[in-house]
Amino acid sequence: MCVALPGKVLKIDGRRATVDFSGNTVEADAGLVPVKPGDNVLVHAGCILQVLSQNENDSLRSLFRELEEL
Amino acid sequence: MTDVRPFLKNYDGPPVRLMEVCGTHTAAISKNGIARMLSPAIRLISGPGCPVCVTVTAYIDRLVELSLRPGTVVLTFGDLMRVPGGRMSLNDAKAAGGNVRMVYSPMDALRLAESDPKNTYVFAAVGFETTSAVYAALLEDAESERIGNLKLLTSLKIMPPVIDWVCRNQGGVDGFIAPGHVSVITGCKIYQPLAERYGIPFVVAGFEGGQLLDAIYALVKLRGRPRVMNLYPSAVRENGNEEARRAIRRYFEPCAAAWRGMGTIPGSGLMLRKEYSRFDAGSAGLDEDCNFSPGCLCAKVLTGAISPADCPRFGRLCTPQTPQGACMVSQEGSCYNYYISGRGSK
Ligand code: SF4
Repeated sequence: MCVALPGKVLKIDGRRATVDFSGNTVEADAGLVPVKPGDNVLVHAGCILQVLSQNENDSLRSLFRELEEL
Repeated sequence: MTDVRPFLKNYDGPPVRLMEVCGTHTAAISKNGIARMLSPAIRLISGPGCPVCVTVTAYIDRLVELSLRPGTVVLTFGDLMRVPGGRMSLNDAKAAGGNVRMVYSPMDALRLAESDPKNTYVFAAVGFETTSAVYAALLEDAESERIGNLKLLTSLKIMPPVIDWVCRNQGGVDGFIAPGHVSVITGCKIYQPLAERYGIPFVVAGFEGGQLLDAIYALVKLRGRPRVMNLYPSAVRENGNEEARRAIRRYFEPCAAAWRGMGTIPGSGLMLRKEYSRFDAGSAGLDEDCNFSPGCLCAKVLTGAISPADCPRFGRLCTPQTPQGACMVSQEGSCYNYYISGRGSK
């Protein structure tokens, strides 16, 4: 039930956002996090939960280095 | 990045038992055949993180009663429709003339309520922190749009107290795959006190096969260490979504909550604050839980005490077509997922 899917914000109208999920556009509530067009976001049950960040590879790489040393 | 597969397949260190708490993880583990990629020394067990599965019968009974009341429409996610209550399921209630409608998002409730002011719309608000945030957003919208005919029947739960319950009462868990989308809201640091109390690691994981394998690798490596590691940093921040937590706190306050198979756990739920009781469809005191099918071992499955395949009914009397318990009804239920993927079959 905690399924959430990534999509891209196309436009904002107050608390409503239009989000594109690879070609399907849906309306989602944008009241829980500030978003702007172009943001990649995580949507759960019709509501945007978070803006996804893109550049996390460095932090993951350093966590893995730490694990390998254990 | 490291290829963790050979390590996980060939691991021959001390046995480790890892629990995935989240029902969406249970479903992803089954779908990706993860259990088969692990050495026999690494065992995955499913925990109490399927909101539909842990819902007690008194809650279903109350929804049924509301749906049969003239002027009331019950709105629900699909999974809840087939869960048997003490007398009947919402599906049965619908067949008996009850007013029940399935929706995909609580946000659909706003439009339905707005377009039909003569009826009261009651949303069956089940879920964990993730979905609680959505209900808070819904109430904000209902307030700002002055929609007065929308209420919630709540059975909302939060994760840390039930993880604590499992560690204290069940034990034998060497690490937790922490729920990814709950952590989007709560942040990953909420697991630190639990990690320290029980001396075990928590790894926050995404939902793709590779992400799950990475999390299992991290947990095996971190065995015996009170460490919280976030392997889903694109979505999960140290502090989570503070705005969402503020919205949750505005409308809800902590309460004791009844869990199928675990009884009432103090501080493990959320209820509407007094000042917002106008949104409440009568959620207090729905604690009773009668075993709707005698012999169903859902309660033990939910706490990881047994694997679904250990239930004598599993796959024989009890299948997704003939479910005997909520764990076989819900698409995130352990029994359902073990059945459809062959996970855990002997
Ligand atoms: S297999 Fe069926 S009867 Fe057994 S615990 Fe699971 S849901 Fe209950």
